[in-house]
Amino acid sequence: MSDHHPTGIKRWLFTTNHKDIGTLYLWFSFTMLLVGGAMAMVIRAELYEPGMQLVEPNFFNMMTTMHGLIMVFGAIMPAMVGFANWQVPMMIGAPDMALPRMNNWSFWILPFAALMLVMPMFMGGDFMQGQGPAFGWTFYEPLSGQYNKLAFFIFAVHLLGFSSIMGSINIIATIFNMRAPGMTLMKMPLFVWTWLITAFLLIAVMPVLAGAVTMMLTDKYFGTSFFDAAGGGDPVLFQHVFWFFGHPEVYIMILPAFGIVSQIIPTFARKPLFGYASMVYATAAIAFLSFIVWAHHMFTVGMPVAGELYFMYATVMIAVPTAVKVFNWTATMWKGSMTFETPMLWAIGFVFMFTIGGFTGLMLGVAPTDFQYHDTYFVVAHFHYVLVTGALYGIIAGVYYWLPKWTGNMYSEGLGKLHFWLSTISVNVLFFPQHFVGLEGMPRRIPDYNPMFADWNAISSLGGFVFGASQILFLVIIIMTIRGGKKATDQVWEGAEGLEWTIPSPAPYHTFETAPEVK
Amino acid sequence: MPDKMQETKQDKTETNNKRVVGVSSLVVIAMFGFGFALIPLYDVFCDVLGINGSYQTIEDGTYDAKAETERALKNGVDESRTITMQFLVTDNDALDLEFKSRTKSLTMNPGQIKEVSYYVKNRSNKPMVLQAIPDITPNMAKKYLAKIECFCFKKQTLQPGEEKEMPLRFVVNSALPEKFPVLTMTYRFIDLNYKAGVDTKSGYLQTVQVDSTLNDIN
Amino acid sequence: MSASKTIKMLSRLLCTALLFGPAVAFANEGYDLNLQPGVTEVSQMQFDLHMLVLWICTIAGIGVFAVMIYSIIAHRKSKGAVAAQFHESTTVEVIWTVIPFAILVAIAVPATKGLLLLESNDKADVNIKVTGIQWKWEYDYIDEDGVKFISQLPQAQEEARKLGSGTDVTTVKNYLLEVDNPATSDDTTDGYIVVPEKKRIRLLITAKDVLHAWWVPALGVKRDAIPGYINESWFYAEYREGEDNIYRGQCAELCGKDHGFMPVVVKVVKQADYDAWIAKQKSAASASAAADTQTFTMDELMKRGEQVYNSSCAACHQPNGEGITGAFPAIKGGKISTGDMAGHINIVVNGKPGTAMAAYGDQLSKADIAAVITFERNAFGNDKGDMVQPSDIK
Repeated sequence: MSDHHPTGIKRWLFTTNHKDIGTLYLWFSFTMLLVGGAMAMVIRAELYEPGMQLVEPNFFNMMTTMHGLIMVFGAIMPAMVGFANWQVPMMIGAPDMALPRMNNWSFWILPFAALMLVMPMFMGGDFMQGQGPAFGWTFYEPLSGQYNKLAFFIFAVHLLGFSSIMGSINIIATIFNMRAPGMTLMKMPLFVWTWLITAFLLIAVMPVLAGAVTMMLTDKYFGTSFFDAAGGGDPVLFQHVFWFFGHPEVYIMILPAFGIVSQIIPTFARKPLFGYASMVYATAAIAFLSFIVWAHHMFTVGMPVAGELYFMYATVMIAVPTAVKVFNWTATMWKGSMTFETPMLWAIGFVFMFTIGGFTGLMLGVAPTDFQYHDTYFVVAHFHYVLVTGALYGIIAGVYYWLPKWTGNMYSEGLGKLHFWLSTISVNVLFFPQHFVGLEGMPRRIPDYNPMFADWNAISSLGGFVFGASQILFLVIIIMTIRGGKKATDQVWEGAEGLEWTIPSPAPYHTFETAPEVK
Repeated sequence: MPDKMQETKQDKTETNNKRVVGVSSLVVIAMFGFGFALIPLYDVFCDVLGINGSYQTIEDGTYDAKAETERALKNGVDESRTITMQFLVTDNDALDLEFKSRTKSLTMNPGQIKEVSYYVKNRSNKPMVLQAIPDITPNMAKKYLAKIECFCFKKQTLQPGEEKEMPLRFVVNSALPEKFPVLTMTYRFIDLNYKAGVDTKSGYLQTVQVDSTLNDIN
Repeated sequence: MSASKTIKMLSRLLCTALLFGPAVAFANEGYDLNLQPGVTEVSQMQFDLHMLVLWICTIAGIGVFAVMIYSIIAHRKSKGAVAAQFHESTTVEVIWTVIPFAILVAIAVPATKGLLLLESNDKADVNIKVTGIQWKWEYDYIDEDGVKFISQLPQAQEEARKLGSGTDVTTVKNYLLEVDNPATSDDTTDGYIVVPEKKRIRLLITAKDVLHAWWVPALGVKRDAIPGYINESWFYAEYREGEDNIYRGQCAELCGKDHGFMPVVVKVVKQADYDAWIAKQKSAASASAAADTQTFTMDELMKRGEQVYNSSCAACHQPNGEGITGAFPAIKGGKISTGDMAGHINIVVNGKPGTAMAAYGDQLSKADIAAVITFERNAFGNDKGDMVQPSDIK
């Protein structure tokens, strides 16, 4: 077993090593988190007070659009793939990913896709008027069809799609073919399970997204009329196609976070995960349901009542497997012997706040009231509880959990806890009041508002600034840990179980070149 | 010997990897196609579930007026109640067209045959090949409405400045549920030449096969 | 920010931080935190259903969180807790699958009833066609000939909401929730949708360019406006003595640059007042038709044109006529505004497909179009010197 590998830029450009590629994914994702976060700061700064103070309305729309796209496709999804690259081979006892060269390619497409996505912002006329996409991350037709640099956006989405599809195929191949002897499917760590299901979702829906943007492309430049009402196309149909992708996409972002949290809680409760099998089934059930509920995003488009009823019933059904998951995590903690190191704090934060997001999700699923909530800040609050205190919290928890294994050093527990408490207080100050302004009647995606919404927006913005600043602390902690710190043991955590904790810390460049035996 | 075993295992893994890549790629291609297939599938889906009407269809060539009319007439006239029919038009910003319904609304018994008329004028200096696209609300009522004769059945060619009165003769099946006392119909014209040579500056192509466009939306 | 406001904000901040949980929503009597019950049967139904689901979520949340918090406090290693090793129980799994399911069924029953009410298609007394246009609404009372008008943000608020306008918007009455009919002088109530009380109002909602959504929270109506489609919705309101009976809302679907500046205002009046309003609208319509056959002087056209320009064109082409590079062409020295007059008329009347330039032919009267074209050709130093009369507009 040797640690020999090329150095310098060539190491990163040509690497086929799953750990290197995982690292690349994670740093890329962190960069995008900061870029998307900076945009969120612009949004919150403009909304701090009623009246337009900082940016033009179209620039604001561009900020909300780019913030959404960058966070979804640039920050959350690549971070999850980064975890999969680092952890899946180590957790199933494989020497590397099944298709290492494709792995390199699927990462290196990403920076170019991201570049293509943000490039139009700096092209054309006055930067301050917002030259980039400004039609919302959902890019509804016909508004998106009015955008004169649409092709950049479309090809960026194509590239992002290629990257995630290749990443997913690789993960599926790795999990199916590279498991150590004795590692049966039902013995796999839950993180591996959630990623397997996520990968299936990805290869099922990313091509649909690619199809949708391709139809937009031909509508705009090649004279077709799939969605263009002026030529007999159907803008509502665009929404159906989009959300057929979009709803599973939501679960693509959250399922791996479920997996991470399901690794962390048993470790720090020193007790096996409660209901392992039911967790697997619940994850599969959520994935299945995600395909048949899409139109709950469009109750107000004027569907037939029968359709609305169906989508309402199917949607609220998701609460069942989701509740099972929350109950299982709670039961895992029950009668454990818990300690509260930083990863555990983030994981518990995840369970609490994701549950709040789940409850508001149920409220939104009830169609008659959704007519009031739809397209208001209530929705914004809901999906940020699910994606920030859900998916992002899962990611941060995972970073603290595995960072000692990756770097061989312990992070600073004091700073980690400071990071958690700063983030958790500020994130609630940021997003909880958004429920209130939404219920009061503030639509989403507006740059300016009636003064009756002012107080809660000001509070929300203050929370936003603190939350944004706290993530700089995260960066500092990570860099400090990479540079040094207390040496980590091989097992790192007292209650940690699984193959990745049997290898040295830091994990050598090559691991499990001889497959371990799993009993 | 162990070396050989190792090798066969590796070969096996590679074969398996190829299989996963192959199958996954097929899934990817199929789902890409499925994205496009969703367009026609929605119509089929709505038909099957009997919730037809949410999605507009160009009725040119796809509408069996005779069968629809026979179906709508077989329940006779229901003289015990009246329904209100409203006739709206929706503007298409892309066209320099004057388009209005001569009758805004009428009250009738379900099962009666009625005729209304629409007026259209090409205000531009180019000929237009127009196709009318219908919509109706409440959309669940669509299947009770039969068009006996309609300008939406065929393309309307209008020379510059030409104007036309166009009839719509229809019947509403008296099986129409009582919860739908008002039906609002709307028509909107699209120009089948519209996409051909819209604007070169913003990147549109100038020459486009118009007929293939029509096939796509059908 | 005044001291009292700061204190109020700080106390709310504290409240949010300490009591986060829907509990806060019940604590306040005003509608600051919660959905409003509104003034219609539908909005009341939505409010009741909202409260029901909110309570269920709150109770379930308290239950789950209490167990977790108890466990966090009691089952910690530092207190000497020893980990139990149980990790499976089919009975428990079945119980906590069935209970949420039963709760969902309990929610689904009133939700279904509510949805059927919201989507009912009864015969209406007043039918209004609502058309969303970037970035204004057009209302057409289809049973009343000639009652059709545009409703948009008033000019004064257009100015106030500009970046760096210097206006303290907290002093602007009904900021961003006020509308005006641009065809009339600055009487904002002319942009209101006036409806009679105790009548079923049926809205037929559509759009011209992109998606919009017509939303008035107090009426419980939110419906997407989709180009080429007709969506219907309805409300029924009573006149409330001693109240202004004015209900405000906004466009709820992102529709481009000025999506945030597209308000809706509905006013419920008594039948007699409604009849008078309709009569007034009809006489205004015939006056406008008369203007279309008139011939104006240059001064009249320029004056009228400036007004029209500011209310209908300046949002994109900018008050100084310089447009926005890359998005909205300049009028000042522009190719069309200094070019052939027929081309200029054509683009204003018919718009430009595939761009944000709308067809104003059916939004503005002929007199207004003639005036604004004359204005554009002679203002901003264009000085073409030519004049367009209403009769020139086809």
